Amino acid sequence: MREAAMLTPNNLSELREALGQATPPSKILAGGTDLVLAIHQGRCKPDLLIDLSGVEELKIIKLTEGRIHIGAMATFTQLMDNQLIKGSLPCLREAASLIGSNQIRSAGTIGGNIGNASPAGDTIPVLLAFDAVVRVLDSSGQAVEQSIDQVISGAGRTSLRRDQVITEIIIPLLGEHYRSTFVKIGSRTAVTIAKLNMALAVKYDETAKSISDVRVGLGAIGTKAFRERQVEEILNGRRVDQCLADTLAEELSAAVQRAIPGRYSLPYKREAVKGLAQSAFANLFPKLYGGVSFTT
Amino acid sequence: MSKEFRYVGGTFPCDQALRKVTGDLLYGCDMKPAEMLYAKLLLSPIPHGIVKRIDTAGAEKVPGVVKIFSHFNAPHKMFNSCRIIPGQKFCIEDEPLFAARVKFAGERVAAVVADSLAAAREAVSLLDVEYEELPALLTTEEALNNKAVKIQPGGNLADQYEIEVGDSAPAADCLVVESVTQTQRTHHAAIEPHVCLAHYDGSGKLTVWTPTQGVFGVRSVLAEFFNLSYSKIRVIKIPIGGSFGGKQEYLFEPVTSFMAMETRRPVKLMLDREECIIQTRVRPAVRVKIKTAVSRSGELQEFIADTTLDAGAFTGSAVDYSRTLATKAPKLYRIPHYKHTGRAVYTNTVKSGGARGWGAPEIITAVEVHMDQVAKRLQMDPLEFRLHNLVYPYDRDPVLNLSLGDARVRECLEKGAEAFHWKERFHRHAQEGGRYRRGVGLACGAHKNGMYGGFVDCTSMTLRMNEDGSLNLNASLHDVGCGTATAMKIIVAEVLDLEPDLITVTEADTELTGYDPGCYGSRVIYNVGACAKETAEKLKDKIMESAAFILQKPKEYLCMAEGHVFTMEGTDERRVLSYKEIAERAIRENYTDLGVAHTYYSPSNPGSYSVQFAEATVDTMTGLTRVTDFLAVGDVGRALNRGMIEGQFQGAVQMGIGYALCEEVKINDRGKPVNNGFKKYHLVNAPDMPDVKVLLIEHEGDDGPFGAKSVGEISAVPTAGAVINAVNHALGTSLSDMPLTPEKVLAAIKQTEDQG
Repeated sequence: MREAAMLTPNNLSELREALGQATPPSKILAGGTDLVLAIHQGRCKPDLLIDLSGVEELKIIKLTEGRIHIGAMATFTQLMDNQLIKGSLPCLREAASLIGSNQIRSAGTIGGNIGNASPAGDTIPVLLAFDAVVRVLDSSGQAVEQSIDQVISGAGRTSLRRDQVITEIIIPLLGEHYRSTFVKIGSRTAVTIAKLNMALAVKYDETAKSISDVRVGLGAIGTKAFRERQVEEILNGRRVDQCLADTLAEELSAAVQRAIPGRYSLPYKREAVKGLAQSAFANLFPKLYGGVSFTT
Repeated sequence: MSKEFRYVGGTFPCDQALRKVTGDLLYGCDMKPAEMLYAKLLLSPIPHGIVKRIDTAGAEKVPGVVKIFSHFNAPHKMFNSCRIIPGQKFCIEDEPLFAARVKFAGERVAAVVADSLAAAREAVSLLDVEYEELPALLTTEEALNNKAVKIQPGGNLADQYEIEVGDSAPAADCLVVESVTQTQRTHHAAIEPHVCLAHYDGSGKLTVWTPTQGVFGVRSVLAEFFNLSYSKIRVIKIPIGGSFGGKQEYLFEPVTSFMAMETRRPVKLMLDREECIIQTRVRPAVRVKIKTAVSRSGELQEFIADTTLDAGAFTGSAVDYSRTLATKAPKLYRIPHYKHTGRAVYTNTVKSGGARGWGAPEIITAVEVHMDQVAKRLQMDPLEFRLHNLVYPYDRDPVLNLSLGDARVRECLEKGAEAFHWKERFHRHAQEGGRYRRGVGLACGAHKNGMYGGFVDCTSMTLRMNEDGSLNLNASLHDVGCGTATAMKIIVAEVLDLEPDLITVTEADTELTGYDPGCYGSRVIYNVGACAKETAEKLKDKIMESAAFILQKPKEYLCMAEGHVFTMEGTDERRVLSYKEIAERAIRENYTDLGVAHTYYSPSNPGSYSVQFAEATVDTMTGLTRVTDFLAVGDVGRALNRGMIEGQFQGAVQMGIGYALCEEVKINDRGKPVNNGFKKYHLVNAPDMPDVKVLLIEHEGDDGPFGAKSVGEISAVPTAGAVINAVNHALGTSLSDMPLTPEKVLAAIKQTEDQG
């Protein structure tokens, strides 16, 4: 039995050195909620594991010049409890809170969510909607900023080289007139992988009661999450009323049809996404929308 | 309610709760005798084919590998995994240790035995098997229609039967209703995966440690299979991390014993979750067609059922299971003319097996979904409709020709309806609209109390009072986590009026404990419990006799209370002996052992009943359904351990909701199970559970200890029916293709809208 070597760097410079030793089968170990299972099941046979748990810098969440910097090793529990996230990015908090179980949230990290590149990753639609960028460090010490779309190339695939690691996720804050929400449909309420997930962010004009700069991040449809620009354009400048909610529902349904034609899951997803749209709309404009939910 | 009792009706933690939560209790996976080897199985990736050749060269090179087994070096003899006694009816022996022709994806093809689990795993991954694929029949329809492909030598029809009682004479203006319900394969989902440890020692004795529900059945199958003397086989029941019927059949005892006999070293086989899902047993999928004729005033005239059970690749328990489907509705409703045709069909899919309720959840769900459809057509409240037809206490079961005993299903329904505010909610929710729709549903269920009437149901135990007044109960208990051991302590403690903690009870060990067919058929409390009570009464007599001798008073002048024997008041000077004094003096002065042995034969098999009420909330846009309120009412005769019974019902409801809404072992069109882990096989978890209220009806009219009847299985019988009826009530649909996944719910809503 071949066993993987493990390196646990204690700071960024040790991390760079560790990355220098990586070979193609090497793996970065963040929270391990997917990787450890894959190793146990023999789906993944790494020669080297670079364990990020020792690098304290990667666990910090801070606000700098209007951008929130989230260390790649920030756990979902940390995202849920962090005051900065609670105040400025409630929809990221919502996404984090709907991932897995308490145990998974306490181990799983935002960096891992990107690196794992699951089409159903719950933070991805939020990061897309907020035009977040990913800071990537390599063994030479060079750091680059890349978009989520650049980093995630497909289901379970990233564009990261073997000597690269995600160190930070940087989210530019939208202004105070923005509202955002995250919604998800799984096969049960909790501990469930998304069948559909969506982040919706809009700039809301209180006087005109209209929305602009609409951002729609859609996940669990196809091989990777994406921004639905066509739907965003249709919604931009529209007045907020039930009719707009219905438009969003119909347009998202059409978007699902475009994204996964002929797929087995299409008939369900193109219907259920309408429910997702109505829930998102109700979250953004609770006063205009007098719906009940399971919890009421 | 039970003021006259000291212990019966109280709440006691299950026997090993403390050891379980502290990790002190050792399970099969923890056991590691010296020299032990690990076994790992290779399972078939295809549903049907001939194992032509196995290249073991790569596997043999793995350091630590001791031996590799397959049909090329193992006996081709067959066994039956559920046979309890030799020559048992319906138990065709058609399961091999290793397949020469695989009959489902997941069947055992080979095994590697090695010094470490890692080596065994690696070696299994290096086994190279050449299969000659055969056409696979994945559904009962295909299997019945395709005469060219025979899964078993006799063809694909495992068994068929017809039962008819009463005469057909429905009135001319009867309403005739027909329904089809499809139930699905489900996984038992016990948290402990299957495990077995076997050792064949130098004296030629085979010892098997297994978390089984019946050690004597295991012994019998092993003895006949290996041609060993029963006296040279010892089967020991070890702690079990849940079973729900999944560990009642002897799935791995034969193959593990074989490997231990071949290697002459202890061999342990441990499964993982995927293996448990794809190759142990599943609750069978059953298609149920029901046709009833009902008078306009709501009286059932005729009930005609037809069932097709998917047996999977071999017989196992399928014939008995299929035939049992015909015995449930007549325990529940008065039916002037009852007819049931049924069949069990082999398919190239995972083997069906015993599961909590043994056919009752399957058939009763179909019956209760049907009954709601009838009530709707009659424009009658489903509650009223059922009251027109439910059985009464001491009715006779016309199929089995047994008394139903003190059957209190009507009382369950009436008291439950009151507590659940059924009438208001049934009428109120029907008028609600909007995205989230609520509905309520109810279902009644019937089950049994043991094997009396058709199979051996006896148990033998001994009870001995020790020198300090404490007790040892030696019995073949198979506690599968539902508090059997604690229940026996409560029974004995009640009879002898001493603290339950002073009693130690054994679990089953064929070498040391008395005969007992096992923990099946809801027989344990009703029959093993009754034996414990009679055994304790026998000991009580003996204690009184000893005390009478010591006190030189006839025992009629003595009474027993709180661990002491007293002379009755008002005779003369009051004298008291503690149990300790009696036990000590009995052995020292009277040369008497305060021990008794007793064998109990079950005298009856009454019905156990439960009526359950569910409120479901359906998101009409996503099809997601949640059960938002639940009441389970149980006709339990007498609650022995109240908290444990409530827990049984709550757990049963969790299983039943999953059965109704989400659990299913899915097999794709190439015969491969697709959801082979808990990531994709979803159980209902805590956030989706309603607050389950439990109401117990206690009448103690039957022969169980203090009147107690079975709980563990009946509690799981009506749940799915209640949930499905609630969903149909919420949506105005007649969904009956289980489970009611969001996809099916949305499709049904669309269909209703299109029609409306």
